[in-house]
Amino acid sequence: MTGMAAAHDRLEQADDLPALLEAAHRVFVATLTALRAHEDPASVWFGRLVMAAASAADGRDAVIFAPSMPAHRAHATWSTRQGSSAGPADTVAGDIASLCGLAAVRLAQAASQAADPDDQAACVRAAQCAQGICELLAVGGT
Amino acid sequence: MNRRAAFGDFLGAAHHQLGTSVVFRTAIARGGDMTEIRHSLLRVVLVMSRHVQDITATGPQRGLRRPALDGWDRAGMEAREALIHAAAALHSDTIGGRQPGVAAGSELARRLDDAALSLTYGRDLLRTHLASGPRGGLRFRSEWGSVLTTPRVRWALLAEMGSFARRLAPLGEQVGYSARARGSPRARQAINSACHWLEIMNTSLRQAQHDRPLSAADLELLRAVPAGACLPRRRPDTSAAVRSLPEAVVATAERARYAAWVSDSQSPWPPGMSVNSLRQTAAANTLTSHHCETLLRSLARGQRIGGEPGIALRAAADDVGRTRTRWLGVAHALDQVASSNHEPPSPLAAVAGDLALWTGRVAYANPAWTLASGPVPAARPGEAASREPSEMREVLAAVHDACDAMSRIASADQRQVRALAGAGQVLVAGGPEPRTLDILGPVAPARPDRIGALLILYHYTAHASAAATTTVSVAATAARVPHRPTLPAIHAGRPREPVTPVAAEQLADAQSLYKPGRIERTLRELGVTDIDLLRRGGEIDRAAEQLIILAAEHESRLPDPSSTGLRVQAVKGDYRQPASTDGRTGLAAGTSMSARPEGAEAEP
Repeated sequence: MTGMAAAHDRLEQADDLPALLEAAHRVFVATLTALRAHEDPASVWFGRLVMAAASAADGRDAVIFAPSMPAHRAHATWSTRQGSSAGPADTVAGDIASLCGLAAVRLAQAASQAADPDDQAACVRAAQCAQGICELLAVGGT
Repeated sequence: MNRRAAFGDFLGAAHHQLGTSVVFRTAIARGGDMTEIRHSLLRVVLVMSRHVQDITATGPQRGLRRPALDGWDRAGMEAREALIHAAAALHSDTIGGRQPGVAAGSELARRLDDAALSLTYGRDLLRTHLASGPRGGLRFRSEWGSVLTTPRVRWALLAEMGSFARRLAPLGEQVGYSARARGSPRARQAINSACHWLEIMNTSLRQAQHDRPLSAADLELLRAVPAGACLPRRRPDTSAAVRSLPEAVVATAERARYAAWVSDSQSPWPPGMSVNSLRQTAAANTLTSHHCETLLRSLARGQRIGGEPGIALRAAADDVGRTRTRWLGVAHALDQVASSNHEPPSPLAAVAGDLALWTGRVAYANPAWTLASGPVPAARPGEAASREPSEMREVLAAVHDACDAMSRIASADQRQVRALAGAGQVLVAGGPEPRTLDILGPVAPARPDRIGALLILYHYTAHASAAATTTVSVAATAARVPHRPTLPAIHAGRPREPVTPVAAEQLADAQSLYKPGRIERTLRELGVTDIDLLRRGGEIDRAAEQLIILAAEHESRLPDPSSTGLRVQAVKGDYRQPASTDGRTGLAAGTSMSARPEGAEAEP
């Protein structure tokens, strides 16, 4: 299972805010890893992948400082080495857009339900980053 | 290339209004009322005097305990005094005979009035870059302010004023011969006296030019000074004509240079500065350089393969391509750090995004293009078609200014990294996971060697962007396209060091701590910025060092231990790269940003 598929599963299964934040973190890291792996200046996707990567790193930063983010995690269970997705750039872009679209929805929901204002702010920022990536990579954009 | 009004426009207008030497002599011969001519000449002399006073006020001064002035500085003082004498000679209690807005009666007076007005506008333009500070000193309002106070630009302005003195000095004698000149002998005498002082000024400045000639580039730089008002942000108007797109790039590049200057002149950590802004800027500039490279290649395709312009354009495209690689390297390095403060994008990041947008629109010849545009239009324009030769001028102007702006942005962001690091806001993973994209759990401020590695990346990027600006300029010259002189890189001059003394010390050590080994250095010289490749290079360097040390220690088991002990030390001294405080070296300690967790230990 690729890192993106694993992140997708975690995102779907997350049933509380800490689990969602951790899943969102995985989404952003897997996205960032996949985007960097597919950067090719000769590709028409180059510009959008570069811009999306910046948003992915911003999204990751937004969630890691959220108060409800679990402080520790067993790094050995998952590594960015397994994060790269196979396939051409347009396929990967579509996968990432789909994953980040889901993350944006779930983070926006979490923002409206979180009790801690700092959690709310973190979720809003992360949702914006995920939404931005989704808009950049949705095939057939403007 | 730059369509904004520049100082040279007003200088040229003033010369044009005086007319060619033949036209001016003819106007003198036609004569006129001497009182009116005297009044008009006074206007010109007064505005010249103000220009010269502005120059001499910012340059070296005479004083009892100061060394005597020489060269241009002495000529400036002499010019100032000559103009004061000329103005005094022309001034009269009865001089205000003409009402404002009433045109002069004679052609000569009209020409003098028009020239005076152009020189006044020119001075107003220069003053948009300078203001009086709270204690009476000068305060810069833009990046050009510091340029205007450099000696060579001050001297260039003196030389320009000297050219007017040279043109006007013969007026006194020639008007005396004019049969149509009418008026009192006193007015005629006043003009003669003033022209005598203008001749003295001319002689003094010619001597300075003889002793220390100014280059054409000095004069060109002065003439290129634009109006100082910062251009408003250009709205992303999708209905703009394709031909107008390069102009938008030039205007946006100017805003970017201004934003970089403001960022440099503010106290460290200006509003909106965070790692997020640095990331957005690096990504946007990766795109900008990508678009510029595409444009240059499309221009090159319209040229003969072996022709000089074609070769120069391809060389420029290669250099801009290297700039893209550098910016992408910065973006990759910034993936591996984080900051806890989340600010809206800094002004510099915002304008870098605009620059990427407008260069993209030029590259894709599509006013509706956005960063999220899909691949469906399929326009990798450079590959699809070559550019029309008529587009060369505007497109090269846009690319040149965009590269120049990126160079300044890189330098400004390099200083911001220092400031952020000084505030402990460049954070890295503190856990055991070496692949530091996965920042989670405890984080800690990045170590100085790692900050040093990041600063070096910015340094290389600024250098690559500046080199690209130069080669684009060379390509423009080869293609016989006039282009804007590049503003010299003069910083605002404020200390911009980190906030705490400890941090300042650490950061000052950062670059000296970080010296790549042989393999990594070779990779860098080849232009490699891939962080993994550089890390592997650093690890190979470290492994080689360990091997040599092991071999030397093995030798130490031989009979003369005292000598081999020294040999081990010598080997360490010869081969070891400067180590970080935990003993790691090169990228394994620095740019790798992942060889071992950071922040787990206290900073030294």
